[in-house]
Amino acid sequence: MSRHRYFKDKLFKIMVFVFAMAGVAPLFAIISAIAVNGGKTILSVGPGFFYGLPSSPLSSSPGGIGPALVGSLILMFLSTIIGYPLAFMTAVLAVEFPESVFGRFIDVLVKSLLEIPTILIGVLVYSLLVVPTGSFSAWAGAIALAIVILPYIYTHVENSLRSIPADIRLASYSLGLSRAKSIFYVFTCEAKRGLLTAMLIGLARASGETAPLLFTIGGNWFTYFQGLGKPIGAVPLLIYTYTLTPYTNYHEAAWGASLVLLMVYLSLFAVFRRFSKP
Amino acid sequence: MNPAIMIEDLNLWIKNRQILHNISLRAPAYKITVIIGPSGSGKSTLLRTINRLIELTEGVRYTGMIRVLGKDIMDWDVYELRRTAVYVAQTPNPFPHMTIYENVAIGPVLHDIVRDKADLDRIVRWALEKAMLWDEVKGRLDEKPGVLSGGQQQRLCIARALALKPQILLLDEPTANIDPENTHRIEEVLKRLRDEMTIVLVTHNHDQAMRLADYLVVIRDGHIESSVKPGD
Amino acid sequence: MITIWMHRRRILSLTLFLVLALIISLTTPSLIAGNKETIHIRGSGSTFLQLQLMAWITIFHKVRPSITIEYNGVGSGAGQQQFFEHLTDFCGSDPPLSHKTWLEHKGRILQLPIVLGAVAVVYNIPELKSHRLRLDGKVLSMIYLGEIIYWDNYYIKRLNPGISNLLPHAKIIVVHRSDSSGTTEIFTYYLHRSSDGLWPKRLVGKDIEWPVDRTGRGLGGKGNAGVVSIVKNTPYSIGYVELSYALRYGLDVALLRNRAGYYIEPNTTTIIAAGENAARTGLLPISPTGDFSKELEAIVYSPGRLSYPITCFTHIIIWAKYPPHKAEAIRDFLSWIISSGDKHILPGYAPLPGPVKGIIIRAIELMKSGG
Repeated sequence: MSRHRYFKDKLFKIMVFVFAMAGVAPLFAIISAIAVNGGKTILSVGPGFFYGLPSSPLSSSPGGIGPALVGSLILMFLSTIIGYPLAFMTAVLAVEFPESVFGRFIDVLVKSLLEIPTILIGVLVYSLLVVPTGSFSAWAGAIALAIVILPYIYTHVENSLRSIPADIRLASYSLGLSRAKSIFYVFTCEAKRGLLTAMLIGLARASGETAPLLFTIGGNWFTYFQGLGKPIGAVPLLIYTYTLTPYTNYHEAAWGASLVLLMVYLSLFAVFRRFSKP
Repeated sequence: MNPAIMIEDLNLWIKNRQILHNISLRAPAYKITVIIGPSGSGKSTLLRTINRLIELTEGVRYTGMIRVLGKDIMDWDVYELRRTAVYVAQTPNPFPHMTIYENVAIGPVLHDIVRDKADLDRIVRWALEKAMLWDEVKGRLDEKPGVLSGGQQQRLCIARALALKPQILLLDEPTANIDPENTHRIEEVLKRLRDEMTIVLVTHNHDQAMRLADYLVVIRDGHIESSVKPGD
Repeated sequence: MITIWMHRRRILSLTLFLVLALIISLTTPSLIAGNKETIHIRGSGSTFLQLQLMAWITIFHKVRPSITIEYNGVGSGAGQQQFFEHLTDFCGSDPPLSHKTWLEHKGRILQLPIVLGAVAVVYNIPELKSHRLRLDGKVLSMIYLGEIIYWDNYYIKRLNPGISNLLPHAKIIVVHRSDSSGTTEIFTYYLHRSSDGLWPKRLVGKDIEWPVDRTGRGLGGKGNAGVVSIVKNTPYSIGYVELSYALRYGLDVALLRNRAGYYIEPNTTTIIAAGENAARTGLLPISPTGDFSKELEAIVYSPGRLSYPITCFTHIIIWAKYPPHKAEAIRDFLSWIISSGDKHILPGYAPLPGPVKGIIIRAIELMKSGG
């Protein structure tokens, strides 16, 4: 009897392991493909890949992605500055006033942002910002990105704030702290890990989104930062454009750019990890 | 001398179920008043009503009058009230992601009663000494409360409350989950604090009540059964 | 003050972040760009033009580092829209402006054919090996209408007497574009013109309902890359792509019957021939201020013995007037294209024939007087 159970247990363990591997395998496949192909490109071009300019389709060199890289970093930073506080305040509203009409309305509104195709958000910003100001701009791109990443940050912040245990909340209130002070000082400290992860999620999404940028930033391959009201480049746009061409040197550059994007994300992750564990 | 806390004819309902019936009680200043009764008799609820913490619960309604330091609690600014009569929960609940120092410091900082860092250091040390915890944590102020034992954490919560320099301490079964040695120490802390503040303590342990009480209030099913001075 | 201290870690990391970002954003332009007098020209539009422009721009930038030209391939339609909204300095457009649009902006804009390209018909028939398939407009129309089902169909065999025994009895998988595309427009226009009415006018456009889809043998690919991928991986399939893609990915290209009756493969010679003959038809204006709306008629299925029948121009559209620095920069770029552009033509594209280059020269002159 017990031998039978032992084998069943073993079988179960094996199945769990196999399924887990199957689930993680695609991720590993993607990461290793990017690492291998991107690594080849970066090694062949050298540090010039990070600050150099594109090369011709006729050339054998993949060229550099400098302007696009700087552009992406600036856009990530800007969109988080715009999107995170908005998402945070909205989440606070939803968590502290869940019953109010306003609170519920906001919750539904933000969650439905998730459903809108990101290209529509880009088109919206295009007609509201780009056309009236007569220029593609970093601002427009950052705002479009901020709208796209808002619901993701919101959901995460909301979850983090909600999962603060009741006795912590009681402790804060029993010290005579008002709701506002409790939220902004105590709960944010307690939910620190979740709040920082939310920022990470926002940054990561901002780094990879392409559609909102199509009609807002213009796209620069040769020009670095011209100013917030001027066009700017971005790495996902570069990857998108290069991949659609039939030229192998551009494909190599796209792989390299993908690896750079991955490295940016991973290093962000590492930095935040260190800072959220004091 | 005026009582620190005066409750008259308090009736309280939570979601239309009556929890407290005609409670009348006086807690004299600078004395330890012990409220004793079996579980579910409404002791915690009563304690939390005094500093209006009960308002955080859904569906609360009450009639009657409660005066803290002579003033009707509804006339108090609720946050000032909770700072003056600080509630300490039964299970230790220090803020897990703040350091020991920060746990004690956050109250004074956010109530803006600190002048500078040196002042804050002094307050933190004073509070921890009063809670008889200073010697055990003085080298570990930068660590999280998780490294402390249950008894130490409860003393940390008391220190946290003391840092606000309250006039009244409301303690909800403070040694219910604590080992005997820490229980003894906490009782020691409370006895020493008596000179500086009013203490209202809830327990279901008769021996503890006998050890600590200057005044004893017996409560059962939301009713006060008797209130005596243990000397009698 | 204490509050600041309490949150010192948070504030520290925030300031670090801000400082870093500020440094990046302020120093990179001056570090890399160096020259503060850079003139920025911006264009957008045709993805077909984008590839050739990338080749020209990267080299031109080395010749004249003080001029940066940025171009984004958002499609001819969006490109025109952005140009008329003054978001860009020029646009790249596969089709020339429609008659209506040209009238609206007559006198203020200049249209320049800038390079030649071609649409290739590609196929995947393993049995044929290195033998080239011959097709004409009528047969292609029947294939895309869904009326010809098998590769060994009588009509196909009739055009390919030399290899008719190699043609297999296999169903033709017909590949077209799933997205809106200028390439589709050129291809369907060719079908219409070369099939004696078999392919109706209403099926000419950027994005149509393909009759062959109803038979279940039709497949849509996204972009040129999509069609290439499907044809490469699907035996017995046929599709149409920009020539540069067919060459780059080594697909088999069909010989198409041109108006003069010859079976022509798309290459630089045959494409230029089509361009020259188009200029001779008189349907193309000689000045950039002219109306180019009849251009397709001239270039697709153009006369001439050597002309490849699915050839097309792609264009740059500019204003007649610009502020002095920009005007000079654009003129310099265009002059460079005329003098040195031919040396850097990508495979699958062809330089403009002489008479058509004249339009660009005329544009440079006209710009001068307006700037």
